[in-house]
Amino acid sequence: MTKHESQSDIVPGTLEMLILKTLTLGAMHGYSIAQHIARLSKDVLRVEQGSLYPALERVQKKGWATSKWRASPTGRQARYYTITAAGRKHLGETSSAYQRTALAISRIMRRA
Amino acid sequence: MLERLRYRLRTLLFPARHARAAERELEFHLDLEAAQREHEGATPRDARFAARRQLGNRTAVAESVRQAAGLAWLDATRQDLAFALRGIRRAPAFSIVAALTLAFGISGATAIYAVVNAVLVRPLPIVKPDRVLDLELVRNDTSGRAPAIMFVSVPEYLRWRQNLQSFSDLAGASPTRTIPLGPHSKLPRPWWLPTTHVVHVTSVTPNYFGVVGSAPLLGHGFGPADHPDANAHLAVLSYAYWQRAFAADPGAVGRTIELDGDTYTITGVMPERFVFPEDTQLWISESPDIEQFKTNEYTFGLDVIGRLRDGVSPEHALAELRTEFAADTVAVRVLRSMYVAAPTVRAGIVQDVATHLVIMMACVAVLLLIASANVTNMLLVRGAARRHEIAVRLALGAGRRRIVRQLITEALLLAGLAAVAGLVAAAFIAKFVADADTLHLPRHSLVSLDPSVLLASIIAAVAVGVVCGLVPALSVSRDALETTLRSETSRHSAGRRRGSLRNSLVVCQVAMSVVLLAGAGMLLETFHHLMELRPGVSADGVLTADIDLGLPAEDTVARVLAARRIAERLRALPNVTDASVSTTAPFGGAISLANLRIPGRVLPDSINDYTLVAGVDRHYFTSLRIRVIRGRGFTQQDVARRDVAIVNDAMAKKYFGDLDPIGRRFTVAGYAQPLEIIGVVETTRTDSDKPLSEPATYIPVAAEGAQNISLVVRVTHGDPAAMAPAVEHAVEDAAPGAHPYYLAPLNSLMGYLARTEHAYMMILVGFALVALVVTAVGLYGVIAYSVAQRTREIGIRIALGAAPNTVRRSVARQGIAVSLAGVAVGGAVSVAATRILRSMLYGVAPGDPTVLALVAAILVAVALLASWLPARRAAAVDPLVAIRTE
Repeated sequence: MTKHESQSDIVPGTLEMLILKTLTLGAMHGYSIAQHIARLSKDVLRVEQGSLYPALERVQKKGWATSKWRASPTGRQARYYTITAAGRKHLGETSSAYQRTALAISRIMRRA
Repeated sequence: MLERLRYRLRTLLFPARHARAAERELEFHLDLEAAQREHEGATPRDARFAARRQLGNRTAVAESVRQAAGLAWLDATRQDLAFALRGIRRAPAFSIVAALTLAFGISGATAIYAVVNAVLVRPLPIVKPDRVLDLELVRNDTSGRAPAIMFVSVPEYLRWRQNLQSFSDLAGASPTRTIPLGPHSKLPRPWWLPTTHVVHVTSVTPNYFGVVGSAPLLGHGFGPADHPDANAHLAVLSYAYWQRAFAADPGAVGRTIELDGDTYTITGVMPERFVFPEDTQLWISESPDIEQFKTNEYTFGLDVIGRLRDGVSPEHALAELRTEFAADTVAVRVLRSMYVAAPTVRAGIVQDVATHLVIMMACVAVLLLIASANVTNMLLVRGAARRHEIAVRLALGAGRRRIVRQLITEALLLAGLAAVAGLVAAAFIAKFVADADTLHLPRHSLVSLDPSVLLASIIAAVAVGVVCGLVPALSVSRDALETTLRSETSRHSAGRRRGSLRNSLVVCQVAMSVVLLAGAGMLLETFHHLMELRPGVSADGVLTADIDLGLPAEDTVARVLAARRIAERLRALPNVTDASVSTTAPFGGAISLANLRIPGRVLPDSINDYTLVAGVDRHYFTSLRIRVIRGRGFTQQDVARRDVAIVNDAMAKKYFGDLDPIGRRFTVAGYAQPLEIIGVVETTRTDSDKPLSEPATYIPVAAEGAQNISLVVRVTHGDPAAMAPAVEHAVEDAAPGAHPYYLAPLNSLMGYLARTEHAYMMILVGFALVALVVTAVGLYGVIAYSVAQRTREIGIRIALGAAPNTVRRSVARQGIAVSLAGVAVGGAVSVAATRILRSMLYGVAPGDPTVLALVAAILVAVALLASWLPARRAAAVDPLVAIRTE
């Protein structure tokens, strides 16, 4: 698969974090989760279906989100994901850890 | 937490639905993506196409979703199973032999474990069984076998109950008796089949249920212990007997039942799991009264159990019991070489059989090991044959882990098939053991494949499958990895390594078979020795039966007359040479033991001052062809006398040594007048597993007047069993109201003598034979395989002029070398291992050289046989064909 120069892969493990963060806005289906991540990252982070849907399975397996089929605005049935209490707790833990790491990395990169 | 579980269940239970949902979700995503692109200005066709391209490999996406959902292993397992099934179908003969081999091992192990579970593991129907002790009198056996547990006398029991402070209460039970009941069936039946018209009755002290801590399910138990009148003629039913005889009718409580001419009122029914002592169907209350025992003080009568007071240790209780026993001057005088012991009830019940069962467990474990070694070897051989296929698969990218998994799945499937067959066989064995008390085990009726047994055998089967699969899988996949598709030359080293692995497995198999065969051989010798002991009677052509005269308890005269009439009527039957009535038939159940005193003599060993007492008529010795050694048998004039006796040789030797016993007098507890010895007869064996012959005293049957008598009928020709209907008819005709039960040819009862030894011997012989066959198959497999491997080499040798004989010898040499190594190891181990059999042996020592030599010869012979076929095939190799192959 070819990729655009300005797009990049997501560090493993962070995709789950991004999904959970997105889900804090409300129940969403897979496509809108991908759209949301792409839009907010200004198209830098593009989530392929090949990583999005396995990640959604993993998130459910861990009990961080649940899914339900219901009608989308267009009337078609879509699978909507909802974050659970356990998911919010996990998100809190990972995002603070992530922020510490990101800050540390950016400090080093600034000096270099 | 809950969500995780729900997710897991949903995906695992409905994998297909999960896949469909994922598919729909992707489709939805694709549609939205296309719509978005259309919105941005693409043509519908282009938009759709772009969306598809963006998705990439749709199957790969679905696959990774599946993997993320944790379903991938499910697919892999399914593949492995399909692969294994294909493997089994492709080599059915191999699979059947492998599965059968394991099935033998698994069924044996399961059956033996079922017995161990019932006898040793399952809880007793007693509250806090650790706190209930068995108070035992133990007598050291002079013959060197295990010490004998004696019954406790009633006065002893009463004193203990009064004096011992360590126990909150003591209770006693008399040995379980078999009592005939009501109208009977007309068919002669094998002696061991349960008959509906006998009942197993245990007399217990009224506080018995209180001490064990069990309350009746229905009704109530017995009244207060110290009020004999309140407990006269009360009976409590076991659950099983209530089901069978009263069809579980709650109205049974309050009804009456007639036993031995007395009427008992049923007061209650015990819960289903309460069967204690073993086999009891009916408990009747018995308030031991010291007055009754004044005349026969040391008749042994009770099994005494006691519940420890809170806070008292068993050791403390035993110490107190010892002190009490030592302080009892009467007991010390009479029971000089006895001592007391107080194991817990469980230990008291299982002490004898525990060792036997552990031995059987060990044997069956060895058998299972042999079977596993064999299957491992077979899988190694098969794996070697499939090395090429596996190498190809590895080359095409299959992981080694995956290959190992597949090979283990195959072994597990074989073990699973074996487990199914083994469990079915074990269920039959367990049923048989539960029904017929072949092994003479306590608690045998509890033997069944209960969930814990099933679980254990399934675990064993899985373990066997993994072990059998793992070694060949690792070995084969490693070889394949190393040599992959390289040429034959590099295969040799690997082949040799695996060859030595196979050889050592076979050496182990042979060694373990030697151990099993040696054990079986020693038990066989023991049984042979036991059978050679002279029974003292001529049992062929003799029918025996027990008769319930059905006369009122107080009418002794009527009983004597009835017994006499029956004997006369039987003697008048055609085809009857002789017939006799007695209180105890040879090898029969009821034995009356009594202490004796010889006036003016200090007995050599006062503890053994007892004799069996049997009332017999004057035809007894002639009917059984018991030889009169000295003096005479009973005559018509002796019939009503109460002052004469005939003793057996064992008694004469024991109490009179070299003196002539004729004309000497002695007294037997329970008989008022001294008895004068008028004759000495050959010693007959009694109902005992031991080769001991007990001293016996015969008195005229008329002096007894018992309710239950035994018949001995010698027929002129033909099968004595065929006379059973005529005998039954004659008995009922001669004494209306009487009925015979337990009709059986005497020689069938004789087999009963060494029945335990016989049963254990048969089991071990069975194990040993299976081990031998399995080992022979293993040997054959290994040698045949090495011949197949060496086909080319052998072909070259033959082409270069090797004689067929040389080739044959070189192949056979391998088999013999392997088996000799195994025999050497096994022989050395046997010398040590058969020592655990010591308690079961008679007339043969552990590690007996004759037995070991015979076993070694058998195994070498089997090894020769197993190598002969491959050797012949090797000699017949056509050099041209051999060289062209590969």
